[in-house]
Amino acid sequence: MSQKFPSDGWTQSFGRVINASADYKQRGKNWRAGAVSFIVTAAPEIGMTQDFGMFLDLHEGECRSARSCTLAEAEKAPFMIRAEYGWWKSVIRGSLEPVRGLITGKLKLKGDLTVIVRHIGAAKSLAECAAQVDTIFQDEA
Amino acid sequence: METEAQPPFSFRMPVKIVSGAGSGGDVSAEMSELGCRRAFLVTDSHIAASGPAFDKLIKGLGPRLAGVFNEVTQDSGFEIIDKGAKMAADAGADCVVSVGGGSVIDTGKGICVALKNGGSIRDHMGVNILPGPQTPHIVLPTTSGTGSEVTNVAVIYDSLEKRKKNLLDHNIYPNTAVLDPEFLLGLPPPVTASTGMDAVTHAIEALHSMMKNPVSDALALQTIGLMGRWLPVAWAEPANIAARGHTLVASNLAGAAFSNAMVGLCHAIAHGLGGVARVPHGLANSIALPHVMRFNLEAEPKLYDQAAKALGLGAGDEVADWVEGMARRLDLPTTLKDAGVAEDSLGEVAEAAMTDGAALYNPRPVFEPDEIMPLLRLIWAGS
Repeated sequence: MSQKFPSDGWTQSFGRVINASADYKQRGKNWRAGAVSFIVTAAPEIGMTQDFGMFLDLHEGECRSARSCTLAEAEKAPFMIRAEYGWWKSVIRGSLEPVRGLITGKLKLKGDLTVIVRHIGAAKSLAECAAQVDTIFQDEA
Repeated sequence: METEAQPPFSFRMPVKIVSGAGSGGDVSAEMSELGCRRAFLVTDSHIAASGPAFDKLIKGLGPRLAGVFNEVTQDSGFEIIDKGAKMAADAGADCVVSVGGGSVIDTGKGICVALKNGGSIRDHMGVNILPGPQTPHIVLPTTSGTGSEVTNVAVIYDSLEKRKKNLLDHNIYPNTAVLDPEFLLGLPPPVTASTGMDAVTHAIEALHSMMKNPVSDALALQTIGLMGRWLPVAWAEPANIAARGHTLVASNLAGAAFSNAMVGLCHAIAHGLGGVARVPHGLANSIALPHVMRFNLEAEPKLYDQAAKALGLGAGDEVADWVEGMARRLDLPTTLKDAGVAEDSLGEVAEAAMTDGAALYNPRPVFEPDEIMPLLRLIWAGS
């Protein structure tokens, strides 16, 4: 079933795709650094008047929960990545590699970059999982 | 018909550069341009006692000098930055003036962030999360190596986890870089050599990085030309102001190049060697660079043709020999074994290197520690 991005439904679908991915199970098996949150910053031009938060509880190749969250909850995750809607869309469509997005300032990370780099394979696998979610982008709906 | 297009790129360099012998005496004017009145000076104890150039700086600042923090160590850490930021706040500083090498400059960047945002620098670690301009920062480098006066990175040592961490943010570029070669006149030859080779490494890695672009290429090629000509002179004649000036500019150009093009596997290994075996950064780069270049050449044989042309060499593979020859000429160790690194630490170095963002931009991709162990053994023993 198609899910609008960003939404709670999309986040839950993302979690299901992650848990169905043999690639992520393998490449993320050493991830023990805690939850990751994503913030899509408000984009009034497409009707998103507030920032949207997503929370993924990732551990050893498994997504233990995936849901939308408040900004306060997102702030509590050891890793919080924030970006404008358009850059998230590029990540999901595979045209923006996540770490390159961080280095070039399109994605902003609160947390320890070196940990992300050590698990670069898992990060890339997550991006590939995001691309597999049946997505309706809010500006194209 | 030629159809190979230039890949898209962006290049950022927001730092004003002021260069010239004696320019350190005019920092007060640079403060005025930034709207600042009270400077907090960050340095180390060696530089603070170093002589005429420093005295000229202090005299030039006059009553605008709010305080001096000279407790920066070789690998500055969170605690030192927090202490400096508290002192700066207590002194009522509205700008930071950093005088020193990479550790001092990176400490200055950290103090600017903590002073602006409050709390510990630990609270502000990340990638591009700072909300806007930070405390104004004027930098006077005292080595020709780091290039940190024109970069958006601060490398900060975490003594709890025993490794270096990066604060990477477009808002921590210094505002002004003052390149005064008089600050380098007392630099001992071994430090001139290792820091100079650090700048050469910045240039070579900017040339082979996956983020290379025409602007960074131009800066990097100019760097290796200047360093090839003047680094041996600065090493042999420490008081040669012309050689100091050229190498200082060269390291600055290399800094601007790699802050956009990024660096590669050599830096990842050097950072690992710094954290695990405490090998000085420039020396680690100098030892590893020719081996990393040969490693990369196996995947991309034409990788250094552009550099070879700039150096008047025949082919790209001669550039690695040129780098190694330069290190020998400067009397630097060319193996990790000779630098005192224990062979049984190489596994830990490999692990650390693979947590370093620099490795991501290497032209020959590497992802796992095992992939670089043969290379590390070669760097340890020599070819």
